[in-house]
Amino acid sequence: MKKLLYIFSLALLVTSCVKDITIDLPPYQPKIVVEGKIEPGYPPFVLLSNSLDLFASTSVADLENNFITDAQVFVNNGVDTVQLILICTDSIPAQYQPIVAELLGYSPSELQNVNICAYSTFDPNWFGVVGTTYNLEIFHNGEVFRSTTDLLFPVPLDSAYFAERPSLPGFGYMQAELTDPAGSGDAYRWETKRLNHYSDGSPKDPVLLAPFNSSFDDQFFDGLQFSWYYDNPGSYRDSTVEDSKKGFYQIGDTVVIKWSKVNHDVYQFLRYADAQIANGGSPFASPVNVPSNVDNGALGVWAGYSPIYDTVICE
Amino acid sequence: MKLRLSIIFLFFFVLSYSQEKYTISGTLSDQSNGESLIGATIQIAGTGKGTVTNTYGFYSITLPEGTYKLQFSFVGYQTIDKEIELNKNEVLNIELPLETEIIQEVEVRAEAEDGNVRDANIGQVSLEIEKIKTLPAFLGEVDVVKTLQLLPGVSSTNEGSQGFYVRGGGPDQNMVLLDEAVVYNASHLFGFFSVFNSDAVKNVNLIKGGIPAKFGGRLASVLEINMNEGNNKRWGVKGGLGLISSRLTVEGPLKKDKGSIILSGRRTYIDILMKPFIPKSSPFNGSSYFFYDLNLKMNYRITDKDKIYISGYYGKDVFRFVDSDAGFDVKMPWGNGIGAFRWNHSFNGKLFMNLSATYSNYQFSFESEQDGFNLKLLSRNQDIGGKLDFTYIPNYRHRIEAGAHYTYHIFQPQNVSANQDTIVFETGEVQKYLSHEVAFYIQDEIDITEWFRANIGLRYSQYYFTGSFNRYVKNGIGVQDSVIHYKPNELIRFYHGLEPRLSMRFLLNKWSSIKAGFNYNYQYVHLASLSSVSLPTDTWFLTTDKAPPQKGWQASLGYFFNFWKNNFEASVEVYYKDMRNLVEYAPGTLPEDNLNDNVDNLLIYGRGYSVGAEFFLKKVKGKFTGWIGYTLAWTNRIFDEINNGNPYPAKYDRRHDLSVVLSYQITPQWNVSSTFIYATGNTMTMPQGWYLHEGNVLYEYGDYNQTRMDPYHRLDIAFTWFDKPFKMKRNKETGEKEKIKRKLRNSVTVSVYNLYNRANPYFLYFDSQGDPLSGNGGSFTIKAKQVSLFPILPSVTWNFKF
Repeated sequence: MKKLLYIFSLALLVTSCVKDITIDLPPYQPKIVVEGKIEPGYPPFVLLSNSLDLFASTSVADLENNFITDAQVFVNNGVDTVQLILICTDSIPAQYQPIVAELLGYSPSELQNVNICAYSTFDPNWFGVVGTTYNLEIFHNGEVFRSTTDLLFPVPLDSAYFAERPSLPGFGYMQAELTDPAGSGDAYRWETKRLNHYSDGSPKDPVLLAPFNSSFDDQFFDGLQFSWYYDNPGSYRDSTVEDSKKGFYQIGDTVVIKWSKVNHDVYQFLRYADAQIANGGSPFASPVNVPSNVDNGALGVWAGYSPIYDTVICE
Repeated sequence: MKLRLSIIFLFFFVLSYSQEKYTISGTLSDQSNGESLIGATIQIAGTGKGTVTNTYGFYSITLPEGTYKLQFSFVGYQTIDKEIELNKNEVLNIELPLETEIIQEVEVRAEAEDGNVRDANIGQVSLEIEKIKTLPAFLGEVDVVKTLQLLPGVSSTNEGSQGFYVRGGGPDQNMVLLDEAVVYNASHLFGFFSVFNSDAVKNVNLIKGGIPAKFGGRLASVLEINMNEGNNKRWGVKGGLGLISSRLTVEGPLKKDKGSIILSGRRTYIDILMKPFIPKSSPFNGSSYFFYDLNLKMNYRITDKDKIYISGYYGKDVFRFVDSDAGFDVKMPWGNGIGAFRWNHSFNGKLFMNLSATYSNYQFSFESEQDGFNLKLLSRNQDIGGKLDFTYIPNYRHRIEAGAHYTYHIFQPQNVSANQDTIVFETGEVQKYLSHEVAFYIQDEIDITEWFRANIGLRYSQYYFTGSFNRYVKNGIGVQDSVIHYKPNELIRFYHGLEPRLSMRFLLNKWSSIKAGFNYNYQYVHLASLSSVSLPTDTWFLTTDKAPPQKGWQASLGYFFNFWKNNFEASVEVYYKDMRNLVEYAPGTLPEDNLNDNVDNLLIYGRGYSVGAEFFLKKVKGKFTGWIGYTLAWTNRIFDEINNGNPYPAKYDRRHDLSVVLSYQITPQWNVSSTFIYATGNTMTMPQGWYLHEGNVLYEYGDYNQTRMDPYHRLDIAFTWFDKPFKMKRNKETGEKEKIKRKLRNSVTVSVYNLYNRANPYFLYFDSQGDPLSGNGGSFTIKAKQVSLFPILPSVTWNFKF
């Protein structure tokens, strides 16, 4: 259905005319935005910023100034509590930059352009452990923002393979199979990264990328085995791929799949975020805010991801 | 309750007691084709008393013994005077001859000359189909619903939106009746066209206030559309060729002067025209869109007192999208199927009965296939109905109507099935909602004094929501939902209510009157939309144990006056409308949430109100005709879950709405007409802020409907050429030229839509420019973009008949 509405939107855009307009919006009160993440074997990362006025022009400097660096951030694992320290990307040793980029979802080159300051810890005792619930507490400007997330036990894929399209030899989607455990409420997220490089040596996919509708739950296949496929999100930003081949993997690609188990709140955040991104500009979509799992009116998410990694060579 | 009803009946009886002796009754029809004339006037000369024909062309008037001169008239037809010595009951079936061929095509059918002032109807408008045909039309497609939207108090949200909105009511709050059968979706192509083929339509009547008791089931309005009955004199063909569609109608007698049949069809041909231009190698080869509709109607006069009608409509939109590269194939058909059987019986000239059996079906389906993954979605509403209506006209002071209506609703709001090869996904059981809706009514239009006329009515409606039905009870994540199973025919919930109706007319003088109306209505069906525009995918569903019926009342007051010998009609109406138990999807509901659940579990309930003033000036006679309508209105909604329970404007809240419709008959062969519309922009819910997540921009939306688009305004113009009804031919015997009536009649309409090429807003979206993380020194900005659909669009349509 979404695809169909997208087609309608596209058809309307093609047959219609578009012009810039100005809209008077009521004064905007910025809100705190939490982009927090914890994964097994990695430290918690919490990026704090303020949401921005819709029509405010934003430069790199504006973005840098928009990060919140005067908060106190605590993580609790049900037993102990640690205060996270502020770490800025310009002070992170070069060898850790790709890891930080991966965790933050920004490419290393983007991190070189922007000095991002996040709250984290180098204490390995606070690296994520599967089966643990992590509570987040943020103190800022006299307000407290709280959230909870889980590192659930991951569910491995039965298989993942490159499915070449008969109509387009050499190209195809990434097919996967899963046996969902019995009991409703399991939710997953799919991200991929091609390990291949361009001729200049730069990586094709600097970080893991999520396709549209990257997350789903087992509402319709609880306890069943089923298969699905995803397109190649990296191809859309790859200028070396011609338009007719966008969305496909090609023979020769080596693809890392990050297949994560997430809890319900994180799934809801990802699901609505995907819906917003996919529906952007569609007259047929209803406006929806992305529900945060952080209280007190904050935006964003405190997300625990329990991934299993697979590598597929397209051949 | 019984006591109250007894008092009401006694009241009617007392008022109806009189000394009249004899009744004149019969039907009025068009002499040329036998079509019954609706709303034609029968007047007793010199008395100012009279009556009008009903939907079936039937009239009845009872008078004391004596000699009377009766005038039978209808605009566009010659008036017939008939002197009658009344000393027994008389049946007078009158056929009115057309004034002239040309006038018939361009003249406005109107109510009695001063009907605007004299009748008790408030908020009621009739449109003349022949007049509509000369107005500018989008891509030349004459559209009844689009013309209705030129009337004060009636609007659309925008060009590509389904349905119409009456005095702040939603699109589901209009009862659209085609030959008494309900039409659930009156739109083709997402609202760009209506389902009513102008060649098949005879009469259009909209009631937007003071709704009489014989109508119920919707809060906002009743749109009555009657199909042509067909020519019972001779066979004929008419049709038209337009830019995007063609029409063809065949009609003729089943038995001369006894019965007739009409079959009318219409189909768009964009798909056929475009097909040769899409190469077979194109990945989109096979994609297409078209719609068609068929109207069929038969009638037969069995005896002088009995007539039967069979009406049918079937229409479908079919959208198909094929992307062979992606192996994606989707089919999306939707449409209405409607059938009606009606039997009219006149008992004794004073008592008229209509028995109807109707069937309505609206169905939307979606089927997609890609790489072995099949998805099917079906949404379907079916109504099986019966109506028994009586009209009793004891004398010219009373017109009593009473009846009983029954509808069996079978709704399947959204059923989804999905499978991948042999794996069948859990999409829930087929959700079927069943209910019985029953109503009884009585109303009387009474001339209490010469200057005071009232239409007093009472409707009593009942609603039975029955099994079989599965009620899903959501128990949260990770916990199995529980289900309550209801057995077949098990009563799950009963609702009922009294719906008082009243309209009054106080005649101030020959030229002016004050009218007032009040109606209280129950509505047992609902429509909810997840989209910011109305779509065929919008879900219809029934009142259930969880979703209560909508209730609403409206009060209106108007001053009506005619001037310049009734050449001009004018009115000012003010209204206030209150609506309860309105429905919306809960904020944040996504389309897939409808699966594995009852639709009403996803809804929230609120109220709304609407207040407005409508100004209307119409020139009804002469070469120059038309109207100016202006509405000043406020329409708000209040839902606890939206905007913290504060009132917010409905998406079709329009502060100002102006329509100007002008038509000028330049010569008997040429007509020019023009429409101009100005309307306050629609409301929208817009983001106010943004933030980043994993490098993606996410928006934070503000309060509902707090942003307004730019105003909508547009000017259209149309020129219509009619050929001469007669041609000169030399008589071979006499050698003299003679006037011969043409067998083939032609007209051509050239119209220009959006003459000054206004870029009207269709929707707004946001586009981000620049990349704040690229480090190239640029900045990141979000800009608002407005999408407009139609620039200046000329079109030409050729119409013919023979």
